Amino acid sequence: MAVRNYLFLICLLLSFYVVGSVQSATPSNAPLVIAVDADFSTVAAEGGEAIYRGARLAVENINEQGGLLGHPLKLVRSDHRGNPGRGIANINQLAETENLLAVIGGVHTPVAMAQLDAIHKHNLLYLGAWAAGTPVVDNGYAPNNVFRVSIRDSEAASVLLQHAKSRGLHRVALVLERTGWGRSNHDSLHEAAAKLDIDIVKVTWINWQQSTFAQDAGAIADTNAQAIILVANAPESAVVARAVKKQFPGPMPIIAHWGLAGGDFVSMLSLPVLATMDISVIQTFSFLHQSNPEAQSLFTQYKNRYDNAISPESVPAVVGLAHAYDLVHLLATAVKSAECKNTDVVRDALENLPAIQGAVKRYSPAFSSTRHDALWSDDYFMSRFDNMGNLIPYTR
Amino acid sequence: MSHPVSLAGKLQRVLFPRLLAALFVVSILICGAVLYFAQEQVADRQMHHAKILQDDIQISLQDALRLLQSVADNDIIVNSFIDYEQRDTYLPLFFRTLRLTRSDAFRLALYDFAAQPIITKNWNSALPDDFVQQWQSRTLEAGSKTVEVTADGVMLAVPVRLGDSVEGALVLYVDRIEDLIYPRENTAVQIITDNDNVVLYSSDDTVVARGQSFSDSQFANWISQTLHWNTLNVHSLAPLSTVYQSLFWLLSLLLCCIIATVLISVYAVRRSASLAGETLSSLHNSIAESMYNQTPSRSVAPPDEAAELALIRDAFDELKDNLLSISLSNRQFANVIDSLEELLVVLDNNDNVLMANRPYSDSAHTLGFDHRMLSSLKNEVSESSSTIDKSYVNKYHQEVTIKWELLPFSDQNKNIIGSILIGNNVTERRKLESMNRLMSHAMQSATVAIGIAEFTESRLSIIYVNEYFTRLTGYALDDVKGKPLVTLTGQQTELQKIEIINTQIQSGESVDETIVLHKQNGSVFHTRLILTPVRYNKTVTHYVAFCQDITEQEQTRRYLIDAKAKAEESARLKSSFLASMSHEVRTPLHGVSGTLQLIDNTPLDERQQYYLSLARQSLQNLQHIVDDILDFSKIEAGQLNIERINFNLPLLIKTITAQYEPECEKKSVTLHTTTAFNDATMVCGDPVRLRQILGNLLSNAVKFTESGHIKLQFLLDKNQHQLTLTGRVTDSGIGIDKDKCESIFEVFTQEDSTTTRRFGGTGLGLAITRQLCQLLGGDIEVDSQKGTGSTFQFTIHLLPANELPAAEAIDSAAAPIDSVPQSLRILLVEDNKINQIIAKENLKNHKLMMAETGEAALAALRHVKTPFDLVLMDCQMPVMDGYEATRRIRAGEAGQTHQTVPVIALTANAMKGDKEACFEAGMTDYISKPFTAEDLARVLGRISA
Repeated sequence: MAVRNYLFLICLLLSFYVVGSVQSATPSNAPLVIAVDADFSTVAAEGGEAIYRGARLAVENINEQGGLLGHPLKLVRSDHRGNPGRGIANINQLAETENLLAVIGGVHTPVAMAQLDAIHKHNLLYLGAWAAGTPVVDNGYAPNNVFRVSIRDSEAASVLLQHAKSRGLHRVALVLERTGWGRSNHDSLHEAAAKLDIDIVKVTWINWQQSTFAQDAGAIADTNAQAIILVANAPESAVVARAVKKQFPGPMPIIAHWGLAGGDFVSMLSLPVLATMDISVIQTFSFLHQSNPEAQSLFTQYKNRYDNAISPESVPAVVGLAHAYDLVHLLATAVKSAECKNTDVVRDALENLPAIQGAVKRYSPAFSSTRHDALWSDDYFMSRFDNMGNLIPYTR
Repeated sequence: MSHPVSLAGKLQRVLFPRLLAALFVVSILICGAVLYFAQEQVADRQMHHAKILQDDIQISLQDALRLLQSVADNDIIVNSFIDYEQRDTYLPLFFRTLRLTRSDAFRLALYDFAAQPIITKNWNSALPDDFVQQWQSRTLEAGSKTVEVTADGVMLAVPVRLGDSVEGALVLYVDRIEDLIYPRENTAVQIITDNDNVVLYSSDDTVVARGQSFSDSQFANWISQTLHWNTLNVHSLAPLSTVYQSLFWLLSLLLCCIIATVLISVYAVRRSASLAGETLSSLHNSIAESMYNQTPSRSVAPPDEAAELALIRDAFDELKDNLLSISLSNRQFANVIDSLEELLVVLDNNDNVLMANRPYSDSAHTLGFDHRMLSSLKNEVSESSSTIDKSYVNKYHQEVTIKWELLPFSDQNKNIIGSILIGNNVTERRKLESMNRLMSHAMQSATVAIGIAEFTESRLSIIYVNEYFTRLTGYALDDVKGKPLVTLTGQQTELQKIEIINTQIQSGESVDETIVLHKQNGSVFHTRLILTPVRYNKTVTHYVAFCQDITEQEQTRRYLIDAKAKAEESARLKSSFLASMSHEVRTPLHGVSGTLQLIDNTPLDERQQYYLSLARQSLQNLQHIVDDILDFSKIEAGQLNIERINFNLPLLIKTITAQYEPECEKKSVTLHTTTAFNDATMVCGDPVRLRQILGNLLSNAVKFTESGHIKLQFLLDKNQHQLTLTGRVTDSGIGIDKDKCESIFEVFTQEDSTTTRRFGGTGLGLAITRQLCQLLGGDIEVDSQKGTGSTFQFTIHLLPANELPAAEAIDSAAAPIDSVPQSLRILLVEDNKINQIIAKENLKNHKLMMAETGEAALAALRHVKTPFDLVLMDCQMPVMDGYEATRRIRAGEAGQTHQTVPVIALTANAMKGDKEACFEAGMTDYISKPFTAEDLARVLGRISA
C-alpha cells in the first residue's frame, strides 16, 4: 500500500513536469509516437511486417476512439535488418524522437539483447512483440523497461520437449543458431530436458547465412536421436530441413522454435519437400486457435485493411500481428491509467494493469513488477504445416 | 675440232658465277632482315613482359578481391554481426588464420554498417584519407567492391551482406605493389608508374627506384614499351645492345649455308646430267637394235630414271613402233581382201584391172573371165542400175550364178577414178529360194488349216497362216499376225483344255487336242488341233499348228451318245414298269391264294373240292407267270443276285425231279436221271437259280411230251478251282423247227403262236433260263427235230464247297416243321384288309392284334400292358412304312420292353436289296408275300426256337 502511494506521488510530480515541458516544447495536438523497430528486410521480414500491421491496426483503433491523452497516436518504423549494431543505432536515433511513448521491438533476440543498454540509457519503454530470449526480459536492469508479449525460451523449452515426449521421442538432438538466442535455448532446453527425463544426445550450432548443414546432419544421424529440436530463423531452418531430408530416409521429426515462422520458410523449402517432412512449430496465436471476440475483431480488421480474401490460417507470421496488437492496447491502457507519457509512470502502470481481454488471451493481468512476460507456457501450443504451408494448431 | 664438253661440265660452267652472286645478295638481305626482326622481337618481348606484368597485377588484385569477398561471405563473419556477445571468442582466431596476399604484410579490418571497426589485423596506422572515403562511399553505401592502386599503396574493400542489405565491409590494405606480385622472372626492367610518372614499382632498383620520377629521355638507348592500365602505366625496357648479340650466331650459320648450297649444287648438276645421259644412251641403243632387226623393241629403262625422261623415252618407243607397224598393216589389208568370199575387182576408167582379190582370181580362172567380159559386165550392171545375176558354167558343167554389183571408185577428193565390181556367188541361195516358193505354195493350197507361231518369251505369236485357215476361221494373216494362239478361243472353249494345251506348250511337247474354237464371225467350230514344236538347238522356237474342222464328226458323235442314253433309259423304264406291275399283281394274288387256303380249311363237298382245285391250279399258273415276269425284269434291271452258298447237289436234283414224277406218271412218261458226279456231293453256288433252270427245262419237257420218255443227264467236270456242271434234258416231245432253235431263247417268243394257244405260257421261261445260265457263267443250247423231241444242254460254273456249313436255305421248303409254337402274342402291322383277314385266320392259335400303320403299331406297342412276343410288319404302308417303324422300335420309341422284340417283315417286294433293307432297318426275318400258313408257321418256329 505504501509503495502504491509512493508511486502515485512520483507520477503526480512527474506529470506536472512533463505537461509543462510538453506545453512549452510541442503543440497540444502533436501526436504521441510509437516506434516499431523490427527486421523489415532480411531474415524475418514477414515477422517485422506482421508486427507493424498489428501495431498499426491497434493504433488506428485507438485513434478512432480519440487517441491517447488527447493526442493522436502515430506509428513510425525503423529497420534493424536483424543486425544488432543497427538495432543499437536505431534506438539511439529513436531516443531523439519527440513524444516517443515506446519502442515495439521484434524478431531476433540478439538485436533485442544488444539494444538493452541503449534502451535503459535513454530510459525508453521497450515492448517485445517477438523475441524469445529469456535474458531479454530477465536482463538485470532495475528498473526494467522491457515488457514482452511473446514466447519465453525458458518456458518454450519445456513445451517443445513435452511435445517430443508426448510423441514418445526421448532422445533429441539440438540445432541452435550461434547467437544469444541459440544460447538462451541451449540453457533452457538442457534444464527442461533434465526435468522431463529426455536425453539430449547431440548439440549442433548453425551460423546465420550458413549455406550447408550436411556434415552436422550426418553427425546427428550417427547418434540415436529420435527427433531434432530446431532453434533458428527461416533461412537457416530451410538449410537444416533440406539437410535432414537428404540425410534421413524417413521423416525425421523436427520440433521447431518459432524462428522459422518469422520468414518465408515455406517457399525457401518448397511445398512438395515440406509435405514429406514432419515439422512441428511452437506458436502462441492462430486465428484457428483463438476464438475470442478480440481475435475475431482483429481478423476482421486485418481482412478489411490488408487482404479481403485471406483465410484465418494463412495470415503470415500471425503471432507478431497478435502480439503487437495486444501490446499497443496494453500500452494504451497503461498510458490512460498513468494519464501521462512519462516512462517511469507508464512502466509503473504497465506493472499494475487491470485484467484486459486481448486477442491472444485474457490478460489478468498482463504484467507485474516481478513478471514482465505476459505469456507463459500454458499459452503456447504446437502446430504443424498443412498442404498449403500454413501453420495449423495441433488439436488438443 | 675440239673435244665436246660433257653435259655436266657445261652446266657447271654456266651455273657457278650466277649462284655465287645470288648467294651474296641473299646473305646481305638475310642479315638486314634479321637485324630488323630482332629489334621487332625485342620490342614485342617488352610488350609481352609489360602485358604479363599487367596481367599479373590484375590477376593478383582479382584473386585478392575474390578471396576477400569469400571471407566476407563466410557465415562466421555474418554471424559475428548478430552474435554480439560472443563473437570475440571466435572472430580473432578466424582473422589470424587468414592469408590474403602473397606476402604476410597486409592489413585487414572488418567494419560494421557504421564504418566502425569490429576487428582488425596488422592495423597499425590509419589509412590515407582518400582511401577511407573511397571504400565508405563505394562499398559500405553503394555495396560495390573497391579497388584502389596509388602511390600510397593498394586497397581492396568488399561489402558484408546480411540477406540483401550491406551490413558491413571487409577492407584489405597493402602499401606496396610488390607484396601482391611475385618477383619478375625475366631480364627486362619493368616499371609501374602512376599518372605523374612516379615509380610505384620497379623490378630493378639499380636502374630506377620506387618513388623516383620516370622520364623517357633517361632511356633513349633502350627499347621501351608502355601499357596504360586504369590510372597506371606499365613499362618494360631492354637495352639496345641485346639486339646485336643476336647477329653473331647468325653470321656463322649463314657461312655454313653458303658452303652447303655450293656443294649441293655441284652434286645436283652432276646427278641430273648423268640421269639424262643414261636415258639418251638407252634410247640410242634401242633405235639401233630396231633398225637392225626390223621388229619393234623397247628401250631399256636405266635405274632411277626420272618420270619426265621415262615419258619421253616411252613416246619415242611408241613412235618407232608405229613406223614399223604401218608396213605390217598394209600386208594385213591385202590378206583381209583376199579372205573375203565376194569377188572383188577394181577397174580404172579404162577398164584396166587395178586390183583383184584372190576369190576373183580363182573364179576368173575356173569360169574364164577376161578383160572383155569385165568390160561388158560393167556396162551391163551400170545400165541396169542395180545388181544383176549372171550364170556361168564351170569346168564341171555345173551352173554357177553370180550376183554382180557395181560401186564407183573415188580418190580422196571424191573424184571418180574407176569402178569396183563385187560378185557374190548366189547359186545356193537361188536354189533355196526356189524350194521356199514351192513349200509356200504347198502350204497355201493345203486343205487343212495351217498356222505357224513363234515362241517368244514363253508365249506363242502367230507369224503365218495359210489360205485354208482364213477360209475356216475367217481370219486373214494380217488379222492374226503377231497375236497369240488364244485369239481363236472364246466363251465356249473349254478352259480346262486350254490349260492342258498351255502346259504342254510350256514344256515343249506336241499337242493333239479336240477343242471348240470361235470363228471371226463368232460362230463356233470343233477342231482337232495338232501343235508340233519346231526345235533349233534343242530349244523350241516355233510351233506348227494344224486345225482340222471336225464339227460334223462331233455332231454325229453327240447324236449317237444321246440316242444310246435314250435307248437305255427306255429299257430301264420298261423293266421298272414290269417290276411294279408284277408287284401290284402279287398283292391281289396273295389275297386270292390266302382266301382259297381259308376255304380249303372249311368243310366242302366233293364238287366244291374239285372247283377249288381248279381255282388253285389257275392261281399257280398265274403265280408262275408273275414270277417269270418278275425274274425277267430283275435280270433286265441287273438286280438279280447270284448267291454263293454250299449245297448238296445230288439232293437238289433229286428233290426237283421228285416234283415232276407225279405228273410224268400221270402221262405215262418215263423220267430217268443219270449223274456222273465222281462222289462229289457238296458244291458252292446258287441252288435257287439252279433249281429254277432245271425247273423251267423240266416243266417244258413235261409240258410238251405226251408220251415216251424224259432223260436227265448230269456231268460234273473239275478243272483247277472251278467245277462245271453240264446238264442235259432230253424229251421225246413235239420238237422244234431247226430254224426256230435260236429264237426260242428270245423274249416273248415261243416256237410259234399256236404253241401259245395250245400250251399257254408267257414265252419268258427259256429267255430267263438262258440269262440265268449266262449269269452263272455258262450257257444253254438246244438240239431238236420237229416231231422227234428236243435236247436242251446247259452248263453252269460251280465252286468246290468251302468250309462253311451248308445253309439252311438249301431246301427250306422241304424242311420239316418240328415244333408248332405255342400261343404267342403277335402284333400284325398291315394296311391291306384282305391280308389282315388271311393272317388272322392263319394265326388263329395266337393272340393277334392289328395295326394299320407304323405309327399305330408304335402306339400299340407303347400302350399294351403285356408285351408282344412278335411283330409282323408290312414293309409298304401309308404314313409310316415298316422300315421306319422298325427303326423306331429299335431306337426304343415303343418302350424298352419292345426294343428287342422280333420283327418279321412281310414284303411283297422280292427285288434285289429288299432283304438287305429289312435287315438294315433292324428286322429279325422276313416272309415274302403271298405267303402260306406253312411259311408263317416255319418262321414262327424259327423265332420261338
